[in-house]
Amino acid sequence: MKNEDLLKAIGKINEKYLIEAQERTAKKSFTEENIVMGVEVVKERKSKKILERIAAAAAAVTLVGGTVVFIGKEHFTDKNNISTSVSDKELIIRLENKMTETEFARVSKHGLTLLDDPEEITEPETFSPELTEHKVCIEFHTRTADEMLSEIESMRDKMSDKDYEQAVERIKDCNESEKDFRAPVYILVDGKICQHSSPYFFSDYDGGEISFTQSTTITNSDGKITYNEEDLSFANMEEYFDWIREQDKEAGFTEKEIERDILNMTIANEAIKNGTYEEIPEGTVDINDSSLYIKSTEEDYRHVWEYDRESVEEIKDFIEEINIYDEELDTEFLVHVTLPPGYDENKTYPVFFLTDGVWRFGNHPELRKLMENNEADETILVSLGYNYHIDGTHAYNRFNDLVVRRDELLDFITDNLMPYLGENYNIDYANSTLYGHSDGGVFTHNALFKSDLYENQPFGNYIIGSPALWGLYNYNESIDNDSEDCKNDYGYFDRNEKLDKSVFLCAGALEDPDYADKYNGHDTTLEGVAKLNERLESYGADVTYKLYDSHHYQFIPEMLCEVLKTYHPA
Amino acid sequence: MEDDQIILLFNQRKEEAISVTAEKYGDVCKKTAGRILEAKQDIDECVNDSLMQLWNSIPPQRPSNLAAFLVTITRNIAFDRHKYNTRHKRGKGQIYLVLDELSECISSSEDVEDTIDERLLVQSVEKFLDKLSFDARTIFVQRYLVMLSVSEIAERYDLSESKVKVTLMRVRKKLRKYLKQEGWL
Repeated sequence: MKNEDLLKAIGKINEKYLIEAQERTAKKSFTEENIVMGVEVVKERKSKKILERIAAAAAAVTLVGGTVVFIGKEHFTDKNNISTSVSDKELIIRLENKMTETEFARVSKHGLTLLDDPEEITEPETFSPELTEHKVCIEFHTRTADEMLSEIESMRDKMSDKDYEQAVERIKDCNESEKDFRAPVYILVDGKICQHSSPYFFSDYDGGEISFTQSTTITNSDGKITYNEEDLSFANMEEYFDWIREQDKEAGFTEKEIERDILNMTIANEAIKNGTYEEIPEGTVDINDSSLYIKSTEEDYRHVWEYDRESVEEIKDFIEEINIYDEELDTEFLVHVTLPPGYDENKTYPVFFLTDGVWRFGNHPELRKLMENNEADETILVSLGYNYHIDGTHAYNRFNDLVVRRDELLDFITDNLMPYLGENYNIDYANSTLYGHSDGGVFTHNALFKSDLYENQPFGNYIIGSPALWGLYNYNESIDNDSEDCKNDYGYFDRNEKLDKSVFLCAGALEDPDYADKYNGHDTTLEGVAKLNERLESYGADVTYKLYDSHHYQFIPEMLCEVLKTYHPA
Repeated sequence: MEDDQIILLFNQRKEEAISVTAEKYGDVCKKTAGRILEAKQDIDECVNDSLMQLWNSIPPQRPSNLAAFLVTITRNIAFDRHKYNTRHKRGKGQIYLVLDELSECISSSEDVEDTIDERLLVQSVEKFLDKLSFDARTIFVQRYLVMLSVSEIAERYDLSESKVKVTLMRVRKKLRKYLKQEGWL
């Protein structure tokens, strides 16, 4: 296809799209459009700073003899002091959920499963060892003699002369008898594929010796494929099962999985011998469907999550998990939501949003404890990680999503996840905080200075922790890399006169030498944060800058507690 | 004159319909063609051809929005003329920028002659547009159908140019992914 074809096709779309575009009128700025005055009386927990921000957002506030008048909006208060008068009213930021139909279809919210044993999860609850209570389905494939011959020819160089001649001979025999080839390809026992074949498919099998040729292909380190053949022979079924056990063990099956596999083979043998199986149409079995295998083809990475089991168990009833898929990133995320003590669904709470859930979920118990002890105000803790089949500690995954695809991740959090959370919990977005560290710091820096490009405004505070901005130079410049733009804060101050968000900027004072080989002549982490702080201060931004007596990440728990208490005082 | 009355004139096969349309929408047609074509003569001919096609289309068609209907006709005639005029030349104007931008959706290795079922491609594009947000969809249509410049879209919708650019960039990325999924690439 040529770009001209595409442009031509766009010219022929239904005219309703053009009408819609032409009827669209100039928009008001998002502050006017998305911030509406709510009438609910909320708990008085707005700090003065937040009130100032609200007042600024409302734009036209005039003090007339101690009366606050919101010009252009029909909301008045007759209190004498601005800080008390506005605290009775809530400015609610609403977000538009931009999830696609596919994304909506795949989102699910449930209780905590992090503590579950992955092996227990894959074990079906209704499995019965009784041979008669199982369903065996077999998918046969049928080929004509010509189709078979061409398949054999295509594999000729991989076959021994003997096998090739035998195969051709059999095809010729069939051709003479005008029969098609029909072979069992997949055996399913209770919906699980049997990885090995059954000798009972041969009608003359008497239960004695089993012999066959096993073919294997091995991909070498240089990418070349080696083809191996081995003639195998077993005195009886027991010996054959022992061989299957060995094969399964090599493939990483657990003891339980091996015994299930053997039992399934036994069940399949019985069904084939007695003809009590159901034939399913060719093409029914999707071999890419991981649920069809006894051993899940997907690794479970629950074990890499870092947390104190006992502390999490104590609060597990207050934790919810959300599986949420993003089409743009084609990635399934897992979000942990920890509700505060005394959570009341009729009240509104700010969100304290942490990236790198694989590590930061482990901080939820300690942060929640601050609320219990009345050291911090009640807040909904949210951490964003990958689902348990993706390793969130893997440097590639983190770098790819937090740095390379930071714009797409920001789209997801701003337009999908935060609005979705808002549909499930009452969220005070203006007072919510986004945190990221290292690669996550690159992400929050990006999120802060591109926040003005979005209508949805889910956060009022940003924590930029030890941003590895030098990492932006470590990947292919051609992938839409705006690494240089980060020094200019992505042009934020070219587009805006001031920053209406609060920033907590921090790093470990001792961390620079630890990554000396990574900077490649670019600013170190500490140089990067110092310059960022200077820029923010020069624009009069609300920034707190703090260096901890620590290396790169050891100070995170202490810092998170400190910021929670600062942004959300009890 | 109201659009309904103009359409009535077309239906009654009164040639006055053309002059009235030219008077009311001639400038819009010129602007539309001018985004794609450079030579004044080409633009004038394109406008005349558009009016002629409108005459031939109504009846039987009865557009719900005459302006949108005419702009689409003009845009497509101008685009065909542009293709005829300049197979390999480069020049000024939004059309070159737009084509460059859209080539992001189709990498160079895929930019080969192939038989395209245009009707199916149009359906695919419509399906894609339906998935976009209102904002993204209207910005996309203004850019790639009407071929307004980024600054014109920004001004029209009272948005920053950077917001328009970022939106377009995201939509192009999404479109490329979508076209791949749908088997066009």
